[in-house]
Amino acid sequence: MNARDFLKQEHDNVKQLLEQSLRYEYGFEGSQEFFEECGTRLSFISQWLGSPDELVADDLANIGYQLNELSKLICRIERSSLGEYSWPFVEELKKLATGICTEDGLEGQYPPKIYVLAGGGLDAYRIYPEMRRPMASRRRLLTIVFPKTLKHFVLLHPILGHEIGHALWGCTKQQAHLVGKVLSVLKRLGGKFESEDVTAVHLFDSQAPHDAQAALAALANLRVDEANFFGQWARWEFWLDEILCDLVGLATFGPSFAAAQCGLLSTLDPAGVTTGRMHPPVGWRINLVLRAAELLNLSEPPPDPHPLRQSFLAFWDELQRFRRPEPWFNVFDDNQIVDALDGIFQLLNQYPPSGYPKTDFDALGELVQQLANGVPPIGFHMSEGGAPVCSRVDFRHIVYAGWISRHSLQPHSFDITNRLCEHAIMQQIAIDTAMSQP
Amino acid sequence: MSISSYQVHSSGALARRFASLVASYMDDPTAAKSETAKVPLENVYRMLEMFRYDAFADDSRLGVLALETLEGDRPASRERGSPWHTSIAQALDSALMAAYGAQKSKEEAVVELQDSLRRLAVEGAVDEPNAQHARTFFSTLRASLA
Repeated sequence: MNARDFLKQEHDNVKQLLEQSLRYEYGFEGSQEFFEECGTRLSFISQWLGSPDELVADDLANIGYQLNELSKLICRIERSSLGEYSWPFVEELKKLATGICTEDGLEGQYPPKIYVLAGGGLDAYRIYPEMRRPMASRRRLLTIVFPKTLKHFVLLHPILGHEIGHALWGCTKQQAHLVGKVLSVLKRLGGKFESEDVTAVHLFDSQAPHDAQAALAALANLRVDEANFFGQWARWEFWLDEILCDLVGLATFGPSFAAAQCGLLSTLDPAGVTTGRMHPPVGWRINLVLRAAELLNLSEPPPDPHPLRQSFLAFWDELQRFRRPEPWFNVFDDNQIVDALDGIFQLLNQYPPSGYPKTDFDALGELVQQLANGVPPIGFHMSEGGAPVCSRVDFRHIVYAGWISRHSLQPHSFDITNRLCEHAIMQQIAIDTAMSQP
Repeated sequence: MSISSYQVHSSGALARRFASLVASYMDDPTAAKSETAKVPLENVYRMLEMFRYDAFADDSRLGVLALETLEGDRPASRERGSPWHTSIAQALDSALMAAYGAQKSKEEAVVELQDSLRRLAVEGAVDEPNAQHARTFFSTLRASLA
């Protein structure tokens, strides 16, 4: 059996896999479109394999790669039908992502094709945008992954705001905007990300905390040091992308993103010095997000007196405890942060409801009060005359209310707070739908 | 390393095939309007869009909480050789020059070519003089990627 014959066999196998496991009768939303997209990809590969021309090594290698990717994609999407994730949160997340991740294509505007699945481990949180480089595909698909163990923990799901940043980066026009209006600011002359060399000098600075220096010294075993850190080991441009995505997360989810990011990252790396090839030190990211939240006035408290004030202040006080005091952890000045956020909001504001909406303290206070009463926090109350009154509430404010309620006098457990908020998002979708009816 | 960890995918080779197919569609309306043709047509449209905005960054990333450790990790993370798009961007430049010279700006030329791709997909044909521009562009693109 030569390579071409084997690839023909594998093509038939993938086709069978598609037909057996992903017929669009299977059930999950959008499965017909997915089935058709996979069918188009297979037809293209089939035509290529059946071409009367001789297939050179490059062709055969490419066909094998494309079949491999398609097979993996089908298996990944098949799992999405299991529904082991918080579907109310996903519904709202899709609304955020749809406008801003819409791309121009041959037939006009293409909203993203989004599929969701559950994975193992806290680090499962992820959005996979398919790559834009030449592929045997017509439309690109977007897969969002939630950790299965955190199925109902909607207070932590705003961490996916960071992943929206990666999805944006995968859209050509948005990438051009982010390069021009955000990355250029982060790389501004005189800053610690002016160049790879400048960042490396700061990273290896003698003022860095002892545990950070010790961790970096371990790289000497790999013959990596300050001089070749970014050339040989880490990817400076990836670090910048991760920082940019943290700011996008804050700009889309507001305080809940800061709370989820600080809480989860600090749990995984309490010292804040973990440094990766693709990720900058954890503490750099935490300090940046907390400072950015302040500069957006997100931590500005309600006037005194206000029923929300005490728990609001306690929430932000707790967040501040994640901040590392050493100057080594602060890698951007305030002007850079403000200008970078401005660049991000210029983009988000073109695609409502992507940007985090301003908080109304009175409305937020009502949501927190509902939680204290043990009911899902939604836009509903009974008028003095006994008539039901509904109002719209953004799901990000429901989640924010959940975080603040953790600091009320008698908070529910974290699990119960999450479940109340998840139910609230579901009920609010119903209220919004009813209010949209003529 | 698993058997599938070999880096066998070549964007340049695939881009050449797409350019070649689109060039052939210029004289084959039936093939141009087929469902299978949507794959090369969409891909070429997407490449032109990246070229127009000079936005080729396209690496896959780890998740937001996927922290890596320093110890025991492999060095030499930098992509070997040129980034995936270098040869494609150069070929697009050459093809643009061959098809338009100094007649149109890069943006105007890309918009015209994208419009030609749409017409090919829907009507199976492109009117002159855009058809001539498109023929020259795609045949030069194919040759430049060889």
